[in-house]
Amino acid sequence: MFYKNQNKFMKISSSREFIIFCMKITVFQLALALSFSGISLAHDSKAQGVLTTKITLETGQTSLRSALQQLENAGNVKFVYSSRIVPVETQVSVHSSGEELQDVLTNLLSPYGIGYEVIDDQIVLMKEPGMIPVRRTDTSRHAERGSPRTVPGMALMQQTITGKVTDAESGEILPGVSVTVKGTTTGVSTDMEGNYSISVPDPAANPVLVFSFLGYTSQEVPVGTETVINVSLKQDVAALEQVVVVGYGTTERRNLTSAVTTVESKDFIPGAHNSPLQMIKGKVAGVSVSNPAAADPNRGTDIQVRGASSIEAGNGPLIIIDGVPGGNLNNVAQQDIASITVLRDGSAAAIYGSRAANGVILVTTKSGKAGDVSVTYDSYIEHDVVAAKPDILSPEEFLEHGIDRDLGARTNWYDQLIRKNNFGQNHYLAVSGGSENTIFRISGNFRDKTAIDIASERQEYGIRANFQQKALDGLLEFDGNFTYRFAGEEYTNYGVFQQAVKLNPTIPIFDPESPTGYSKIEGYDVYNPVQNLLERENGADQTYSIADFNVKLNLLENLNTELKLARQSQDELRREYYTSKSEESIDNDRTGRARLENEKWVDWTLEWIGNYFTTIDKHDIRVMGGYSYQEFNNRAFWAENADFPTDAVGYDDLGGGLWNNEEGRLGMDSWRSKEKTIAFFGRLNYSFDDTWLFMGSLRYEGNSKFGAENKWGLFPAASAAWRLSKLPAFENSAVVNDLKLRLSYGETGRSGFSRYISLARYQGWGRWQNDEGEWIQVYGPANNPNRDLHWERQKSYNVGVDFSLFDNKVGGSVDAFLRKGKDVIAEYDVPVPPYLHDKLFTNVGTTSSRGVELNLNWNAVNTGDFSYTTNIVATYTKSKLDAFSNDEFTRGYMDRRSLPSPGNPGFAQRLEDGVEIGSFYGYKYAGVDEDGNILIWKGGQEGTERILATEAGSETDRTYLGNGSPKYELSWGNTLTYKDFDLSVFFHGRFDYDILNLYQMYYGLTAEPNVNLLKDAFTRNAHIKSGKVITDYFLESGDYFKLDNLTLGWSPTIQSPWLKNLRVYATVRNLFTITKYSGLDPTTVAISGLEPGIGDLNVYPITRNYSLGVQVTF
Amino acid sequence: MKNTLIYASLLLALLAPSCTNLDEEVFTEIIADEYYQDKKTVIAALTRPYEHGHWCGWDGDRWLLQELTADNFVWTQKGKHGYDGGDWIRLHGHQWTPEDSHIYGGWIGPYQGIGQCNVVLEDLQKLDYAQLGMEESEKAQHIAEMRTLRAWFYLFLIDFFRTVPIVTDTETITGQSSPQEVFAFIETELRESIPDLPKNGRAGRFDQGGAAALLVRLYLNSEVWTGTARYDECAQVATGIINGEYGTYSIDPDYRGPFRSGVDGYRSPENILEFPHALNIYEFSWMYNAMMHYQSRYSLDNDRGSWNGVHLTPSRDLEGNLYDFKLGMPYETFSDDDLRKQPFRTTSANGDYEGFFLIGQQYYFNSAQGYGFDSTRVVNGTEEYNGEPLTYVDQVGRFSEGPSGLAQGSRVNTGEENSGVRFIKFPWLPLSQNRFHTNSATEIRLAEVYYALAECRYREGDVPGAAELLDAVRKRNFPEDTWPQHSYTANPASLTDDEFVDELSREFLGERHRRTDLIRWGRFGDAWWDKAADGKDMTVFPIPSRALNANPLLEGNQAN
Repeated sequence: MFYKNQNKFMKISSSREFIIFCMKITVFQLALALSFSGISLAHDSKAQGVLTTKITLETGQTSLRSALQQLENAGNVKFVYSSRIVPVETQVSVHSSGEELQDVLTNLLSPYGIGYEVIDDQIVLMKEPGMIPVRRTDTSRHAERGSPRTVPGMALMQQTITGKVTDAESGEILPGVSVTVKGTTTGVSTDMEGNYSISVPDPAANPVLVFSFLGYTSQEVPVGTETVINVSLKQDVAALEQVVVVGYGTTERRNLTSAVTTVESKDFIPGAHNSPLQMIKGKVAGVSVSNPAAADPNRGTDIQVRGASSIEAGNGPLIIIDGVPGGNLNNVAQQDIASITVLRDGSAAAIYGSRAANGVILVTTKSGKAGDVSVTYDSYIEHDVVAAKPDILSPEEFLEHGIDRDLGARTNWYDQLIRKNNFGQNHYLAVSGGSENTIFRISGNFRDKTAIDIASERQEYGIRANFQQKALDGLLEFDGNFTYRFAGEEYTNYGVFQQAVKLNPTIPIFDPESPTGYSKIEGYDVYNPVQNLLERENGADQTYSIADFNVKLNLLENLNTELKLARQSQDELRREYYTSKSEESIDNDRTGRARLENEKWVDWTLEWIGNYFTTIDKHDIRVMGGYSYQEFNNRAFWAENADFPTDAVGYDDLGGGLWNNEEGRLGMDSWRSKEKTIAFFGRLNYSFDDTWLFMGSLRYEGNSKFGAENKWGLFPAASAAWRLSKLPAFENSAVVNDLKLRLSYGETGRSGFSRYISLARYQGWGRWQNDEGEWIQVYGPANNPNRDLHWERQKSYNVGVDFSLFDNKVGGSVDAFLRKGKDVIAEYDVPVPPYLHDKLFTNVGTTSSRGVELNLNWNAVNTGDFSYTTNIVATYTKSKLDAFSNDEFTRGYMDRRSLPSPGNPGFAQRLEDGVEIGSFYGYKYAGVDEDGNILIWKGGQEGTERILATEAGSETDRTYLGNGSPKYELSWGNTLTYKDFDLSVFFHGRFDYDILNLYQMYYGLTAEPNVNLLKDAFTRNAHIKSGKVITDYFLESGDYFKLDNLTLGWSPTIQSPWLKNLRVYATVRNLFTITKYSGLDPTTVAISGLEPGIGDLNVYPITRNYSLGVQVTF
Repeated sequence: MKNTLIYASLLLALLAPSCTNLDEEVFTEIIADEYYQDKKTVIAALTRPYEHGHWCGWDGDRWLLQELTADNFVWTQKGKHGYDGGDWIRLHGHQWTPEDSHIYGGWIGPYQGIGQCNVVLEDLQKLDYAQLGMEESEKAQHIAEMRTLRAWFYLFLIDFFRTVPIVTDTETITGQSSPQEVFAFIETELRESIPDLPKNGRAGRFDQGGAAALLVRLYLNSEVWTGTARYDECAQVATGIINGEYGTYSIDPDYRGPFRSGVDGYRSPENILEFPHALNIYEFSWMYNAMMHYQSRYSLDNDRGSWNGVHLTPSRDLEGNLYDFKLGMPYETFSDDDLRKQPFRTTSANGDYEGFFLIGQQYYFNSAQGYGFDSTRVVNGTEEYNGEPLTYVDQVGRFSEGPSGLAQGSRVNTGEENSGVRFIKFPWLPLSQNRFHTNSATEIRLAEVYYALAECRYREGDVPGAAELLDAVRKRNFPEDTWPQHSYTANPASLTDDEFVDELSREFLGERHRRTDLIRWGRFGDAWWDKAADGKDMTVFPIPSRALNANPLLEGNQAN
């Protein structure tokens, strides 16, 4: 089995072959894209060009209809008209030799009182209605090109006009659009189907219908003789008018009353990502996306919203995919995501109750559009190179310093673990389309990645299908999502990179004398890392699925109810096989060890919600209420065996091993658990005159994990906003386009801890002999049950300002927040007895985090060919433990993160009342004595007595040394376009924090015997001769600023009957880093959670990633 | 619409009860109230505190507090290994603080056991044994066992801390009792339990002999613990045990016997209470891990890793000369003809072995013949002696660094990978013969009762009486021809206080007795290797800070 992997690894055996391989793929992708484009790239089909097209046409005497048809061909244009208005049978003739189309048309049509206008590449012919030409903001100037001549309007009696209003871009229907007759009080709204019906009082007076809808540009349409007027509304250009997904519904961005950020797919960070969340890194203020092993295709990304606040109840946000809470992002292809929305503050998140305190991330996948079938192909290839390697002694230097014996070889262990010809590819194809009543979208992707290390691989493929179906004339709507995804994962072992640093570089990798063929490396915590990775298989087969089905009943135009049923599942089959040549097999005199573990997670969701909305004068009211039931099931079993007759069968024949035959060996286990969440919730949105906005929500939620009397909790939220730009002072302001002040308050909870903690349970412990002398499993109380265990509650306050300035060129928001965690759940020391275990999982402690977030966009330049947009996202966050005590429990502190062997220097951080989370706790460095022994300041006070750290240092000499949690996070995005090219330059940095550099502690001191060392041991740290202790000497500033992403794209304009869009792009990630941190890269250090800023010893390589992609839409 | 709303409300009202049910469903474990079903479940619950008791006695902190604070054992820092936050330096040098995690372990380990006994006692008292298919006499026995086991846990506490809470239920948070109250509680519990206990019960369970032996321990130390000497009662109970009043026991004729009990089904007649082991099922693993070298598995024939931590305190200085401390130097307190002093080696494929120590050059196990060592295959070191032969020495120093290393002296923090004689009284027999981890942990043996009685005699001035009792045990340690030189009966003048303290060291080496014995003999504050005489009384551990923080009713003791 490992041979199989090795073959994969060996398949592309030299870099030259690899380059050729890449080139082949690239050429193939380009060829595929271009073959559909017809290479008709040069033609400019912009609307304004149409009227100036030179026409050469000789029709002779013919019908107006025929003349128009011939003009369509000659000018490559399309006319739209009604034969009721245009006298199509009238005989006309056109003689044109190179005249512009507009002149030809004027000459041809004006005698019949027909005007024309260019709308969306079509030329619409219409009655010149006297005074009012059809006006649309973007094209009105063309209408004036005609020479309108006033003719009397048709004298019809009162008339009913009907029609449908849709979104111009997506084609989606728009309910609730206001339709009024200009200059009158007559008005209606579109229903849930986007349909309206309005009585026009005096058609003869050339009435005009005004269609207006928040977030869209208002449109005025003269009624003329039409009785059916369908309108497509265009969204306002400014980002402020974006529609934002919030819990259980959507709202317009401009109506938000709380801190919510949406990143649309077009704004995602481009390139090859191992997790979709990487696509919003640095895009959302207050959201910290990090990954200490970003290049490992199997490692998930850490995400933290507004700092860490919880001790034991989890600090990860709630992920909601297409409305189903508790989703798994592994189940979504990055190209399927339409937008990612983050509910940052408590008032927005409170509608999700007990799981929402760490923020809520709503992922919306793309759905189809009515109309032509659209086919999208989106793919990339990628390659990683190592960006930085540990600066260790060369074999020569190692020997020169006499660290250990020369074992003959000159081995670069690190390089041996690197797969230079790593390669990734991701192909994605989506088909969507539909009719008025049915919309569908199906997508599939395939991704394959061999990672930078010689073991990690990932291969995944999946399909996603969604549909929307209307029935009974729109009374019922059905929609659903179905996904299935398989991922084959092969894992590495980060520990090998520690071995690569510390191993004697003169040890040969291979030893022909050894039975395994590898060099045997003996000693404490050392092993042959190459053997470790190659002589084993360690991976998993993951199968993910989601099926959700929704039925919506539109009871009234403004009242509907919706039922959702969803099932999400993950099925993991862990596979492990350690061959007979693995070190553990040799050490234990075994021939191979195999293990299979199957774990399944199945979540069921049932939700029933109702919506009502109404507009009374300037009062806009929306009400939503609902019920939610979720259950989460988990079960697993594993079995293992060893001593196989051959390495060929491994875990595929677990019964073939001898190991489990021995008495007392078991080699199997199983477990199962279940959790339920039930909630009732409601929300009211009210706005007055688009000026005063208010939102209030309530969720009453229960979770089975809590104590019998404490299962239910209430989570209220309220927020309000005042649109200052509506004040007279700002009316017609040249500076302020939109300005809104927001205030919000919300209560949320946390429940991210293990199941059954509140329940008194008996569980099996070790073995003992029974009365018959047989070994039985003994049973005893499993836990300290805490019947009082209840919600960890968080109160959040947020004040924010949204603004759009200078003709909407500058936009953004500023938010300040304060979060207070109460009843924070932690394991607390309790007296034993009466308690059986010395820790009780209980509500104790309070935390707080506060911060300021800024998001600023500036469309700096926008000329015809060139545009430049820049964006700054900046965050300041500070989190602290206010108190780790309450009436009953009074300890006041807890030590965190015991540093590893050898030496076990103790705990690196302490959480204490009033102290910031992530504070380092240890000795204050006071230089060295004449023998090079580390000295520390007595009592932790500089300037007092210097004492020997290892011999005299005691608890009272420890003090706070620094903090590992970055206070500031800054990202700076720049997008430049020139003609068909676009360039995005994205910088990212974190500031004001410390990293405890364990590399310097463990491999940077000459006192560490027999291990290879950093060069620093003999330079920067040469004065230290004693062993490591936790002092601020090993603390370094973690501040960094890096060019995180550089993408160059080319989107040629293509005129082709099939090809709608083509984009080719190249991305480089992690170009350079400005930092003083002496470790590999500050981003390899975890900065989220409760123990941030500890630079681990097992560091996965930091890489620079190159990717090349193409996106084609047909 | 109105109707729709009514229907919807009705539907909601109907669904409401089932839609709001948040009862937990448990699958892998058992809800406590539903646990007891039959005899099997009773026995499984009854044995849980015993299983914890084994851990409490023979896994970590309690052993470390008894032995590393005394003169026989040390966990030296060996180069980069074993600094461990200075814990071992502090334990050895009597510089511990209430924050010390091992002292907390000395508190929490016994108290968890007490809590478990309390739970089982409450449970059992509520059970109807007849309904579960058992006899009332079993119920009485089970309750007596739990009370005895609980008293055993309290012996740790009175020994370590003196003033500790007496907790007998599962609800009450309790403050401290005086040492006299704790002593009286233990005494009453044991005395009341003995009648309901069987004689010569199962291995790993308390019986009359076990409970009576605890009384011996209690009375023997009464003077130190309560200020009142109770040697008479000690002698009385000890005599009763020796006379078979509490069951039939006898001194094992073989010096290895009590420690190889359990191997190949052997049960030593000397062992009053032993905790049984079985490979893969319940192993004696901490003891192996703490003492054996990383490479020991090659010479001892097993597949286990270990920590290379604890060894005997050195008898010799850096020049190889014997130290002249009155205490410590455990290896050299054995005379050269003492059978126990031999280097450990297996001598047959039938599980025979000799010697209690690993010293000198280490060799690979002779797997061809199935026992002994393969003198052609030297086991190498992996740290300071990487690639060089691993040779244990009865010294501690940085020999590998030459003169500059030796200049650092012989200290707890100047060890190397081969420092110290390794203790293998609990034999690690070959895995390939299925004898690895089959020997029991010897908790109480008849020899202890003999020695206690001897001590009572000695203290009342009856040296010949003491000598006779000691010799009854000691004789097995010497070849017949040299025995007369060693016999106290034959050489009564040799049995002095110092000799008695040394003899306790030799007989109970590594059996978790030493700190208590030194304190009882008033020697705990004296100097020994790398340890100066104590400036103040260190015979009681402070109440650990974590315990003080957790229980508002607790106060510090004399050591806080």
